[in-house]
Amino acid sequence: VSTQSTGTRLSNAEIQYIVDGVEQDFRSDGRGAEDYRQIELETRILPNTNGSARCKLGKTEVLVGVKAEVVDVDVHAPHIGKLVITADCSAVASPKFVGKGSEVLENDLSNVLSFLYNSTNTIRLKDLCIVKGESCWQLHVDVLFVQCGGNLFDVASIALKAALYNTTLPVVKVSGEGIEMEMEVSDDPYHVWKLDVSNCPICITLYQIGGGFAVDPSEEEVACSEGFVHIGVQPNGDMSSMEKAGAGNIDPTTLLEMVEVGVRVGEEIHKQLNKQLDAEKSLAKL
Amino acid sequence: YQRRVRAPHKRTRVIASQDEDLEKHIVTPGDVITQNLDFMKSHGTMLGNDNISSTVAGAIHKVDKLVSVRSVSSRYRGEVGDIVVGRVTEVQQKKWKVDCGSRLDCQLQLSSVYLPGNVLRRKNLNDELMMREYFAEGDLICAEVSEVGNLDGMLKIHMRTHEKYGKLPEGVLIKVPSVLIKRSKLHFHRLPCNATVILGSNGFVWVGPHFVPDQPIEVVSMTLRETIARLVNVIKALVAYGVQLFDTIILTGYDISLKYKVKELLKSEVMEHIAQESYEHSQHQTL
Repeated sequence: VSTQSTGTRLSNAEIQYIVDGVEQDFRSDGRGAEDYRQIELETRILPNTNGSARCKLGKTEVLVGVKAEVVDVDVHAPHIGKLVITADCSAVASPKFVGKGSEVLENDLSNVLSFLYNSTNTIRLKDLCIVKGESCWQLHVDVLFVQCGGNLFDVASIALKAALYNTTLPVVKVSGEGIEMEMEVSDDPYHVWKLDVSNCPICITLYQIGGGFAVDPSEEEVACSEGFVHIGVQPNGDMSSMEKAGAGNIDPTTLLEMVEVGVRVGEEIHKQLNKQLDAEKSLAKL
Repeated sequence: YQRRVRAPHKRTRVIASQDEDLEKHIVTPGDVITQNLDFMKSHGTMLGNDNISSTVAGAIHKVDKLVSVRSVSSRYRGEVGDIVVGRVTEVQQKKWKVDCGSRLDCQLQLSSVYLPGNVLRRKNLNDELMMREYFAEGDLICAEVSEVGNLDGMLKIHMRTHEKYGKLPEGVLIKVPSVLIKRSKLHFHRLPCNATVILGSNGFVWVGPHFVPDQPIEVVSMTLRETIARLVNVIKALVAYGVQLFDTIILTGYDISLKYKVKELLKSEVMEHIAQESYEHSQHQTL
């Protein structure tokens, strides 16, 4: 039973019905094992950020804000910028998140989302470098859960990609060398550049339920599940990360099948996500 | 090809409340209802400073000199004779504790339960030790409210006859605001499409195959699974738009939904369409 489950106990009869449904590719609400519910997406909603997005799936609602600041480079990596992802579960989402109740879940989320962007081909951190060896951009990505209804990782990753997609960074003019070096950050709100997010991954979580597996489970389905796997899928079908979590073991053959399905579903979601983001961009003046 | 990622759907207001009232005024806690102290105060009202004010958020109901405020969502408050669907939470000495979505768990006495084989007899020590064999923690049951506690409002439930009360087999449970379950004579509906819908007055709605308690049911076929899923989605659509549930409106919604695939019923526009048309259809029928 994972940290995500609400602890609802189901009767054996209900569990049997749900498991049979998943194994026959026809779940309690008519979805197939590979079907996501409706995902609602809005971007550029937080005016005091460099980029933002809001994503809603079922009962889960997430806000992501990206803020950029100029910092000194890391001594061990002087030619790249920094990406810091932190997750926060608001007490508004659930009474069990009051005080320190959400610490474990927040750590899980931050780690999984950071791990998603760990590979070098997901986001070009070189682009964030301003002066090699001196200064770079540090992007603070804050993921705030306003409502928790399961499938947190997937929703957060989609909102994260959407927020990065519309993140704008001011152009920095560097003049001079050595001690006389001057950095001028442009004031002009239209003199900006955008990150290349064409390779950014999203997380597809597959839950093992009985002899089958499914994406985007309802709360009842999570209560019937054993282990689950987070797969970081990039738009071109590459896998950027994989993590197995939850209590319960997964058969190696099932794992290979899950990866195949995860990548296929991920590619499809990427296509639709890009379509929606492009559609939104065409509405905006910028 | 299903459109999964989209912009937020613009939600319309709740379609309508089902009651014909004299005044449909909405209040929030603390709002003044009337300065006239002649009125008799009922649920949801209190005596404020020289006025009658509301204690809950909801609509005012005035019947002659009686004024009350009915809140939109409140915990189920049980009445004798209500049929409820509940989940067993504890097995105690000689009784089970059942979660019905009210303020306190309900009590189901061992003495008010039919044993397998349609037997109602005095329970002995052996039966007491075997309680978990009948209902274990997590099981869904259907029962009737026999008593409402005076002081704390705790409900006592029992299983009066054998044909419909008892443990529920394979199926789907949906939790719905209890205020949306229309009070009627029948809550246990054997629908012509081969599925059973139990509209618990406490807001717990169960959809599943036809069954007789304690008798094994056959394996649920794919067609029946589709029917059950369709009914579940129709009920969720009606509830999302605040439409009260009763058997005819669910069947109307079911018929309207037949032109969509089951999983299409999860889309916001389709849900709105089904709720709107079912409600209008039911209004036409009553006229």
